[in-house]
Amino acid sequence: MPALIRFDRVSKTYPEGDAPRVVLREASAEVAAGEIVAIRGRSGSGKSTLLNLVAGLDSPTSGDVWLGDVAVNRLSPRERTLLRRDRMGFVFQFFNLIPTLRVLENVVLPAELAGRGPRAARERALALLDRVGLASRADAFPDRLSGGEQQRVALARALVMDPPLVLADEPTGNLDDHAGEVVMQLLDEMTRAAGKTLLLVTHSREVAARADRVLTIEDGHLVAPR
Amino acid sequence: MLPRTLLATGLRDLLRRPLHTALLVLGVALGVAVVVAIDLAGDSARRAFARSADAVVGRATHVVLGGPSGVPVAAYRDLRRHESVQAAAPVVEATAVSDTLGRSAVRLLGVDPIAEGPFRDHLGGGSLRAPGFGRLFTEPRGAVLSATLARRHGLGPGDALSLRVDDRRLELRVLGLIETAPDRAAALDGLVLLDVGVAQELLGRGDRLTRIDLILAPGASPAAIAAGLGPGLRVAPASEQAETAIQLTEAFHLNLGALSLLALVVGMFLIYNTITFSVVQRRAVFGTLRLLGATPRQVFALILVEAAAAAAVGTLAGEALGYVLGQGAVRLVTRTINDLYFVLAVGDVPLTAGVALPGALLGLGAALLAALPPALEASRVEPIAALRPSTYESHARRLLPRLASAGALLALGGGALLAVTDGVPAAFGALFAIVLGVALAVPLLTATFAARAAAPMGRVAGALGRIAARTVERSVGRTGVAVAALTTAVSVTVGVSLMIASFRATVVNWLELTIRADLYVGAPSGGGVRATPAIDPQLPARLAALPGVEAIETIRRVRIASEVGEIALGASDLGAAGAGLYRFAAGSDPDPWARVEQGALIVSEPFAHRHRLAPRGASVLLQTDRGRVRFPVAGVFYDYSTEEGLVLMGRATYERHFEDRAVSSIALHAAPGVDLDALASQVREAATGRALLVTDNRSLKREAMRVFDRTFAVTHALRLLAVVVAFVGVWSALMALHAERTRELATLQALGLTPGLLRRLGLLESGLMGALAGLLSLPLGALLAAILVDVINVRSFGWTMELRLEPGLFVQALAVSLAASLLATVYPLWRLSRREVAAALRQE
Amino acid sequence: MSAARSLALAALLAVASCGGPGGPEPAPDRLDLGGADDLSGFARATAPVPLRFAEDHGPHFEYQTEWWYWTGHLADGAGRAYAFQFTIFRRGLSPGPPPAGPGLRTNQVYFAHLAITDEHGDRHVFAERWARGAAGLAAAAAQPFRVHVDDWEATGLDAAGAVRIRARHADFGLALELAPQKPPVLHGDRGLSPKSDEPGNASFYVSLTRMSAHGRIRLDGRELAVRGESWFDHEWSTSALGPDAEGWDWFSLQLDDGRELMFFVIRRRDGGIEPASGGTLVERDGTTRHLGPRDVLVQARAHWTSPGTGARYPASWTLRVPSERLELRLEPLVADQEMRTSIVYWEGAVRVDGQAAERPVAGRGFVELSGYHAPMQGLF
Repeated sequence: MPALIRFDRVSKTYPEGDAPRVVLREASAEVAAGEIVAIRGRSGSGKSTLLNLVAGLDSPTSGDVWLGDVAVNRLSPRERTLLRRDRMGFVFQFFNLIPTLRVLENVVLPAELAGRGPRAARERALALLDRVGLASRADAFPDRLSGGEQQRVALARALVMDPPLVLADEPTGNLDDHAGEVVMQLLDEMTRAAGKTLLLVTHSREVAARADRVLTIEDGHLVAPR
Repeated sequence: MLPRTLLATGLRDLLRRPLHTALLVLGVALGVAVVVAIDLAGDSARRAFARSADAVVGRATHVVLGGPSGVPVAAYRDLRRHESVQAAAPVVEATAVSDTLGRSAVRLLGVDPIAEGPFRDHLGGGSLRAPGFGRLFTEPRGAVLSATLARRHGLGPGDALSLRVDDRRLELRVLGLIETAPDRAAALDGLVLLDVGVAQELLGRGDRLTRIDLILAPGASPAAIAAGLGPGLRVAPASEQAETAIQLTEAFHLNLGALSLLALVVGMFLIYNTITFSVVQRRAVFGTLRLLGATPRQVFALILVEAAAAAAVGTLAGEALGYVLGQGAVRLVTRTINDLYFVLAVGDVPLTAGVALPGALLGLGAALLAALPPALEASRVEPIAALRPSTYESHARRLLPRLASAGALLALGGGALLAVTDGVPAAFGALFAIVLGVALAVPLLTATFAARAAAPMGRVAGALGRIAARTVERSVGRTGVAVAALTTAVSVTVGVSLMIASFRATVVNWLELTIRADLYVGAPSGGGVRATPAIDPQLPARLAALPGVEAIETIRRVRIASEVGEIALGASDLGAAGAGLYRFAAGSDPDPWARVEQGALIVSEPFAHRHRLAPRGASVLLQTDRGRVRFPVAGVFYDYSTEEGLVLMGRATYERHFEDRAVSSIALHAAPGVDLDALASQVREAATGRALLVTDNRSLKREAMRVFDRTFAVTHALRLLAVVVAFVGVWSALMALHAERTRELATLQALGLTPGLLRRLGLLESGLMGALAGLLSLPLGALLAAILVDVINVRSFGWTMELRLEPGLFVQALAVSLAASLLATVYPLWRLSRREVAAALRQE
Repeated sequence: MSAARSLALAALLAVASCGGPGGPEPAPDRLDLGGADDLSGFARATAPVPLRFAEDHGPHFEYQTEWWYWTGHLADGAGRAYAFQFTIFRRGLSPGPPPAGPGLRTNQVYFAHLAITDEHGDRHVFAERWARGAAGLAAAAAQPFRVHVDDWEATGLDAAGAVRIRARHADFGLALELAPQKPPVLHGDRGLSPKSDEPGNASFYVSLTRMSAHGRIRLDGRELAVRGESWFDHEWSTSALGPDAEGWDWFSLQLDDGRELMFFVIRRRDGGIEPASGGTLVERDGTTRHLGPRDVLVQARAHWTSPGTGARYPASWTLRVPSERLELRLEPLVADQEMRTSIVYWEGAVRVDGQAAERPVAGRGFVELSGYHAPMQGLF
């Protein structure tokens, strides 16, 4: 399968006062389209950094990050915004739902920002909510939902624009085992079924086990598990 | 541009933060309310004045005016027969104070009921058919009032009405009431009408009128008519007197307007701080929005929409509040105008579109303007902020030097402007530029100062001291703004306080110099600066004859026409003694008083400044009873009694050129050892039956200072406002600061920072900020004061004032700065100590 | 914003002007002085008093109302006919003369009427003046005789009652010298002329019924030398009219047989006539005969309605005095001789012709019609 994501000798150093912190050292890796890849590593090892680089939220100190045939780090901020909007879905550890929007509105938001017709967006959002089992909570505000429920809403939101790539940063980090299991199950099914690529950052063995492939960051390099 | 859901994100946030939204609304409401209130007051005062001027002038096209003695009836007789005169009406006018009408000043208007028809309708176009009409003529003390005025004081036909005019007590009787349409009632408020002949008799005017109203035939030439009158009379357009009076209050209205704009600025500051704080708190949400595809422009617009929504509510509240405040403001404004300038009675105070609309536009505009910087900040939030807090500080720190250089440039530019230009608006502009310039440089100074303070603070307060200093330095994006706000507010306070103190000291010195007699006799009958009460010319001699009186001096104050318009003229019979009472500005004649004895004039500083007269070689053309005469000016003297300016001549000169022989006030010097109270009683006895006020030296000085203090009472509000601003500035900066530092502080708490130590840390931080602001405000405040005293005051009025840098005020400034800063810490600290450690740490 | 306001205002005005001819007038102020005039201090004409001239040509300040009234017929060099009326009225607001003093304090109010009729031009011009009696604005004095309102004045030339009268307004005016040809006529009972049956409702009424007149009049700015004859009336009273009186018709005629006739009819509100109505016939030698209400029969033969005020006046008359075998027809020189002044009345020059004891007789006269526009009650 062709590589959707390619890290080409990516280095990332954070200048923190007098002692810069090197997070990635000439890391290279490839992710094929449709693959589910988990990235593991210790806290502060740079797992999230990798995700941020793919999403164009951060720029490498050197090296390129390719998404298809586009070098994400060379795009303008506006191009990156559009790229994210149209081709990526995000699931975060802390859910990042907009507290002042209802559940349905949260899910619909990316589509509205992209200029999709309100009715079509609503229908799609409701369908997704139904798929994650929360259609009945469409009018509730996020603070009324449990952690697991919020994450499921976030999942629906991530998929509302039908992006080919889903990026998940510690999706179960804030959930108990059962809720985490439910969310992972949904994430797995919904991405696999649609042939989407899923790049998953986690420190959980169980979560990583669902992936097709696991990459580990050690000492700034990406290595395959032994 | 803003999809519905995106809008909901912002607008619902307003509803979820009632306190924050309330502050926003308050900020707008405050600004709008003050603008509207003051605008309302000024607008009402102006309209009331126009109405009352109309009521007095009526449909006259021109008026015949004379000198202090008025216009002889013979002129009226002749004008009635003049072919260019379509109608003429004799008028006697005087200002009076009435106890029956609540001690307010009123205008007495003596008119001829049968000549009034073409001019004014107050007498209902009376005719012989009207029952009782004749009583206006025949009752020796009959008067007529508007029904509204009468009912307000419980007066009806037949009731007594006591008045004091000049030095006379009048007991009038209410003959009848004028019923007017409600919208005209205000015009007649404050007027007491009499028959003109009765008025002449009661006021002892002989055959003199105050003026003759004319309606000239179209194409008539006022100059031709004037040529046929005596040398002391002139024909002026009917609107001239009203225009003169309005000009007197222009400066007053300008100052009020400036004050209202200041309130708006304060409101804007409140809005800026509040929105900034909410932006800081919602950084993660903005990051998420950006991540999900919102453009920076959309986020920018969202903040502005939030601000506009709150501003809309705030504007409505402000208009309502402003209307209520306006009622009170009207009373204050009216009272001041009455005190200082002329009689004014304001009836209703409606909120017209002309006042409401600008207030609303200003409110909305100011809110949007104040929301711009935080909106910009919000739009610059990177999507990555969704995951992790800000890079704001580094961004801010890069800006500091540039900001400081811009500030320095601005301040220098202001200084240059001051040096190069001449006028008052330029001076205010320069002042503003200097203050703003320094404010822009303060953040850099804060960072630098805080960095250098780390070590000494560590020595004094241990680790906490160092942390406090470093925090102030590192978060200079927040702390710098707080210190800048505090510095600006306190230095403005210091500057204005110093200016007022200097002015006050100058006035006190001047009073010491000029008020030297033991007793003063005057006839206060209202009307402010345009009143010219006349005391019986026989009285000075009678008083001089009293045992115990060593010497008397009299002064006559009148208003006459001159080549520069209507002016205040004083005639003094001081003789040689006068030399000691007046101090002259440089450039005056070496012995001005001797020249005065010979017939020259001396003018006060504001007069010379206003009319651009050199101290020497200048001359002024005055309209005297003998015609127009040009008088040389011998010198410019210091006088602080009126910003309009005063012209002084010797009594002998006055009597040579004018027929008037009255005096306006008498100063008595007691012989040594005489009991002043006893002498005062004797004086009062000698003046039995007259409405005279006898004041002693000390009381007079006290009263003068009371008027001075009352005039500047408004600035107390200004200073209070400044302190409130400072407080708010520090408070919201600290709130924003803590919101950004929660993680760091939580870490410290986990490491063992007890709530008590946390409080100490907070106090150390704000104490440092307060101290810095206080120190910076001292030189800035002194500079402001210097500009106010030596530039703005001089350019506005021409007064010489000595700048006094009273140390007490500086100490006060430091104290206020520290206090505001420390107090502002209380709530943010309290909130902070209640947050859960775990929740904050979770972001790791 | 001011543009918006002017637009709104313009719209408002447009709507308002559509509503009708001119908007509503702003309500004038109303002055309520309460109570009627107190007439108790004034003297009333209750009994005849000896009248002396020239003093009694002057003012009588104990009485409330007074007037000096000159009318006359004039002809210019070309023989064209003119007529004039010049009257000065005095109204006392309290009994007694005005207070002395340099100021405007007074208890007297004066007003004056001037009118000129131009028969050839078929027009009538009039003017009015008001002034208070103080400070030389208006005054009345007996010796020397001078009555004036501003610069409209009548100045005595001799003790007999000769006067110079002068008045001017805009482009018309007069300056005439009048000299009496007969002694003063005392109407009624030695000058006491009752106006109703109530004692006190009367006036003192003196006339100079035939005076020569010469001088100049001014019309359209042009001056004309004129001569003719004039009639002088002087009345003073306090509330002369009875309570039911509405107005009067007054006639003064100068006949070419050397006689004069004065006759007045006081009309009542109920349509009747005051029995006190009457008049005087003056013979060539100046002797007089009192005429009662039934001695003279007056009949109006036509009417004229004023386009200016809408009042309807009688417009020509037949006047018969059976005891003298006089039958006269009176025709106004000009139809509209209405005085549209503060008080509205018709005062017009008339031509007289008819028969006196079967011999033709002609003459000139003046007719005064009051109370046709508004009742005279309360004023006089």
